[in-house]
Amino acid sequence: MSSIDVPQTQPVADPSQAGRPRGSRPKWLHHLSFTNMSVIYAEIALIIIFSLWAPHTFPSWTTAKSVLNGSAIAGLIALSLVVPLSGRIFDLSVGEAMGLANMLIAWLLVDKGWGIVPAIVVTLLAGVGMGLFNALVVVKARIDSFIGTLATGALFATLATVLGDQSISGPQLNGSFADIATTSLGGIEVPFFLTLLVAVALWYFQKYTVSGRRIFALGFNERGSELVGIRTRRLKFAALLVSGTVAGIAGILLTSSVSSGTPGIGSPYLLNAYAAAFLGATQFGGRFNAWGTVLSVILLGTGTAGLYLAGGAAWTQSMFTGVVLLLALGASNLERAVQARSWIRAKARPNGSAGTPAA
Amino acid sequence: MAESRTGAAGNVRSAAEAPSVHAPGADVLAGVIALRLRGVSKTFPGVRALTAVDMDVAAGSVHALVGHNGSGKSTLIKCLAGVQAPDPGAQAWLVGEPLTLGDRHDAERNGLRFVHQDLGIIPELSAMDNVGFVLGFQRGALGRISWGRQADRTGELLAQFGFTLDPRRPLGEASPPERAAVAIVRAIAGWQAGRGVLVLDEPTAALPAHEVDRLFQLVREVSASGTAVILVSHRLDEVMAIADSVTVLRDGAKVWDGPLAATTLQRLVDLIADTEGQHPSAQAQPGPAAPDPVTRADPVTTATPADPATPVGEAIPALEVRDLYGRYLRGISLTVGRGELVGVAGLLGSGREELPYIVAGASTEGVTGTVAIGGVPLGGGPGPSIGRAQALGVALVPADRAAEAIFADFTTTENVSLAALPMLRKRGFVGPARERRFGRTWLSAVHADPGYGPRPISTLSGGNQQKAVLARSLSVAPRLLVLSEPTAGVDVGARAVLYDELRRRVAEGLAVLMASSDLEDLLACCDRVIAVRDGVVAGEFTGARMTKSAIAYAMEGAHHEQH
Repeated sequence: MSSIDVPQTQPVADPSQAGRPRGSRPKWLHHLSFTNMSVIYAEIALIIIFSLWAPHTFPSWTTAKSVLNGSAIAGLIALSLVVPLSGRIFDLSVGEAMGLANMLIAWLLVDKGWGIVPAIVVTLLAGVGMGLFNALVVVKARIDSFIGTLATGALFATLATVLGDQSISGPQLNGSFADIATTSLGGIEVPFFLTLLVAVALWYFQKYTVSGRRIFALGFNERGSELVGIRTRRLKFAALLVSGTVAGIAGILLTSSVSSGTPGIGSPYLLNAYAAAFLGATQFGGRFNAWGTVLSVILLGTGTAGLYLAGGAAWTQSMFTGVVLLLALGASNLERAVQARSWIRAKARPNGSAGTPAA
Repeated sequence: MAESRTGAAGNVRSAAEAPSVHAPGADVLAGVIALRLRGVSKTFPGVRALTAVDMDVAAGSVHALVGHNGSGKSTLIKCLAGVQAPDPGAQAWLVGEPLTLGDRHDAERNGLRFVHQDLGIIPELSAMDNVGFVLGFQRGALGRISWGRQADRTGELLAQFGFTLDPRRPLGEASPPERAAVAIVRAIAGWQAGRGVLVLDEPTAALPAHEVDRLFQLVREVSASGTAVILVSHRLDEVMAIADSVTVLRDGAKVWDGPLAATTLQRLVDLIADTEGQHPSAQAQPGPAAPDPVTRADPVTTATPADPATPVGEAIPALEVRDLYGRYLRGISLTVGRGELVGVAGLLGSGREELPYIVAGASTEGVTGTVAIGGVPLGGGPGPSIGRAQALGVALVPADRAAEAIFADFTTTENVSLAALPMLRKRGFVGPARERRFGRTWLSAVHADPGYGPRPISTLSGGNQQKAVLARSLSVAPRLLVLSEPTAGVDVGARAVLYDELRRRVAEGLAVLMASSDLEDLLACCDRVIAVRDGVVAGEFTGARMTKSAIAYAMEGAHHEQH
């Protein structure tokens, strides 16, 4: 209402009005607020707790290295989900897709005796192909992504067992192929750097590109996106292509890291990847994002390693994941409620913007 | 005081002074009074929604309850249904027995049944499921549902009213009248003749005009069985066709009631819209003799539906629609010129709400006919699509802001910039500072506080959200702006701002097609208003002829009644 008296006819940006709403906290303080980056505070808290709990084993560079290196593959799989999830598309096949890539490259190298480069190229293409297949199922055949990718994931798992129903290992998987994943810089191995690289690319894509924004729009309001003129089907297609491709890359790194192809190796990664992606979405502004996801993977890895080193039973590790997820999602709801309340209070204050609470 | 049309408006005076309750003789004639209401008032904080409304509904009759949005119709129905309690002092009797208003269970127990506009059915489930949820399922041994008997019973119930649909198929596959029939049948099944009162709340609102007849046949059969039917409707032609008596509400008070035979469609329009004595059209062209329902005073207007040839020497219109058919439209033709703001009026189901979406390429199902934007047919090439309409310079402001226009999780700036993002791109990426500037500029352009930019749009009022949506549509520099319900949920101040901004853009050459259910909207800013009725143009109004009553007459089909 207060804006009716703006008299100009030409668009004029008024710098005096451009700032933050009166009475709210400074912007940088908000960015550092607990709920905006609770994962970082939780990580610090975990490090302190486990350092006190297991003072001889936990606080060491070795632990840090193993947590970070262990987070690489899981982080890559979690990042592969961020793009589809932003557009409210579920890709439940990423775990099996990574598993198939793992089996495929091991089979090519060991059973078929291919060279490293052609094997990697073919496996990458297989990753793209799996993404393409998902996209055809979800976009062209119009099968709901949740069900469609569940089905394609089962098919990927089937293919992996066709390639071999037992672990494939051999000298071809050691040596220079194993170097891909085990070459390290200051103790940190290549896959972790690659994960960081993917995270940077994803962050840039989501923050600065038109397609990145449009994927969010698609996830927030599909009908609205169509009416704005966004080609939603094309975006969905691309999102599934990306997750399949990244899963393929993760599969190659996994094979190099463990030096074997193992049927069924991919599926346990799926739930943790979703946990990390959803936990990450509560960070830095409440959308699916790259850095929140990477940090969440590290947080979950820290908890698991800490509980192991502190002598916790095996069940405490899965419990940790569940508790952290519930706490994080609960906290973000609480944050929203608190924000809403303070906003209403600011509105109701007599010296507020217009004096009358908006309907 | 304008000289009024002799027949119609002359009676309005006396009608308004008519006794507010039926003459006692009417009761005897119609038999039993199934529902009697006395002194029903309802006060909300600061608002008097209903003021001492009396109503008598005879058993075996169809009683229409008519009035504009906000006239108190829905409040009265909610009081009847027990959703809201009326102010103390209201009294009600059902077939002579006192009824507690505001008690949901008492209403239900005593035989008041309601079928609301959305029918309350589950389209994914079959007729027998939907009937079973209300009437109970046919049971077999161990309480299992006996599906065979359930199907038979559902089929029988529907067959009583002449509907033969497969009770096992999902209702989503049934026609709209069939779905309505299921909702009505399950509401009234098992009643004693002459006892119940069936309330139909806007049952035809979502039905295309050509599908209404079958539903009305059903309503007639229901009322012939002795049930009293209260029909809430805003389609007066239907009320005239089916009702026996009518109660007119305006601003929460009853302004008239009586048998329908004692009134005319024009009088009802006048009573509802409060346009008694406002008949400038009658002055300009005396008498109801206008043979053509298309009333046109201004020769500036473009081609008429009867004369499809584009006027010689006139520039190609920004929008030209020829013989357009859709779900509701039945061969509509119209044009919008450059720098012209054309309004589309019409009742729900008339095609008014469908037209903007077809023009914007957002509704293609069953669409035939020609839509040309600046002379280029929308249907050419890859077929009508939103992308193609946009390429031709069409921008749409959708009707349902929450579901179709707003991205609630985006900030206001992100909502504003979404359509123009590709234009904000520099070397492949969109700079945040650049986008913030863009958001501020466009928020200022539609007279919204630029400080709203970083706020989540869900925290803005409806009016400011609508300004943001308008800013988004204008920011792509469209040649034709299509709006549907642009002021729904928008406060008065913001409305004025939206009107002014539209007028200013139109003066710069923008063509605007604005469909609205709010006549005040259209009168406030349009150059020309087209009234749509049953999918075709029922009247076209400009200048002095563009009055609320003239448009309302055309929407309701009052002109046809005059012949």
